[in-house]
Amino acid sequence: MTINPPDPHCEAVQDELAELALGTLSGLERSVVLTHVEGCPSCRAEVNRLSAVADAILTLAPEVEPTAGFETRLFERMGVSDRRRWSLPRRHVQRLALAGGALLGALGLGLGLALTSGGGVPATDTTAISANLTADHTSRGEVYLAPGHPGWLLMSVDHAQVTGLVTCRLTTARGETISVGTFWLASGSGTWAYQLPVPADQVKRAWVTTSDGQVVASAVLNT
Amino acid sequence: MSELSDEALLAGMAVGDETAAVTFVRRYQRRVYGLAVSMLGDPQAAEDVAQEALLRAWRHAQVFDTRRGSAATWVLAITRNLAIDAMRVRRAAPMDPARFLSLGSVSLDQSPEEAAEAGDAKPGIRAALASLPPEQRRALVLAVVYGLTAADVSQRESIPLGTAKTRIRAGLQKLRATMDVKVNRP
Repeated sequence: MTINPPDPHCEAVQDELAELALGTLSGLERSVVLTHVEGCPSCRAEVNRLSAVADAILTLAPEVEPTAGFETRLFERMGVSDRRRWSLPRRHVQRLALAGGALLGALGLGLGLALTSGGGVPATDTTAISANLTADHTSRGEVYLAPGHPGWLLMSVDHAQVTGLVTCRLTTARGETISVGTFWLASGSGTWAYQLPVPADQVKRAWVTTSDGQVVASAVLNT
Repeated sequence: MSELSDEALLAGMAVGDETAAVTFVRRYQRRVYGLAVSMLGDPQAAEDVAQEALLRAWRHAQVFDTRRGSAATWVLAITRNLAIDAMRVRRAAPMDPARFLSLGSVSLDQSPEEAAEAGDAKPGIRAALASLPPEQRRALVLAVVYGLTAADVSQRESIPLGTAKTRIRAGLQKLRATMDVKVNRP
């Protein structure tokens, strides 16, 4: 078996092929490498393979709920009609373009709900429940549960002294822990709504954790 | 409509089907925004990038070529390029690559089997990335995710330019060898 010696032209651009594949090569260097690659099937194939690896790395990015109203603003820019937007069910998580009290009001008015505060009263079919999110005995926001089919959870976090991705988790009456969704806290604040994966009256505790598992704040519900 | 393949949705978008566009957006908005916000670290800037990426997918769906990769990698690559542009305009320092690596539902410390049990659809690439030496992994993430040139990586990591180039190339090649990436590119 004969092994061909490596082409010196290919050898000379090996390090740059990766950068070409990543789109980070520029100027004269890019021009030189591109000229070689256009005439070299072997190096062209290598660039394509490396690009595919880079694409695969991007798929590791976490799924994060966009900020409230994202979808509405996007569909307006796309020129998608209201009829189309509302004719399709949303499968996983719905974000509401409302926040805080406005959302709670909308939930209450829209669903005919009464609100019980303080976390001491179990949710019923017609009663929403709220509780304070606390950390170190200090209020860090509020949680609202709106019963229904599906039920809803609204979480409003303030002054949490954390910026970045956080995860909302629930503990159920059966002792299960459920990760409901991930959202972004900007300067310690954020407001999010999720469809409840379990009946509202089955939620015993809600809390927010950082990506490394540190608890930012928690709330006791349906005591 | 929600059970249609990505490719079918993009085909519908290419001919202006709004229902396909709504389904596509709802399928991908969390991934697109997740990539943007993990790159930029700023919710408002991330929204701008994510909106623009999905808008471009809608406007340019007709140029999507299934032979060149999946719809997911296509729309995420659009997002990455827009986020890199945004970082350059804002002169924002890229976030710590360790942060990108620590995000997501499965730790890099998990085995592929543990990752699969935890519901991660991408255990192969995650495990392959985890198997790289830390310094190689950092260089790779800085270049792939944050769009840093080898010269940028060299400066940021305080290493010679040649070392930065080698880390990026060797990292990509190791992943390619362990990932079984299917490439159908012309």
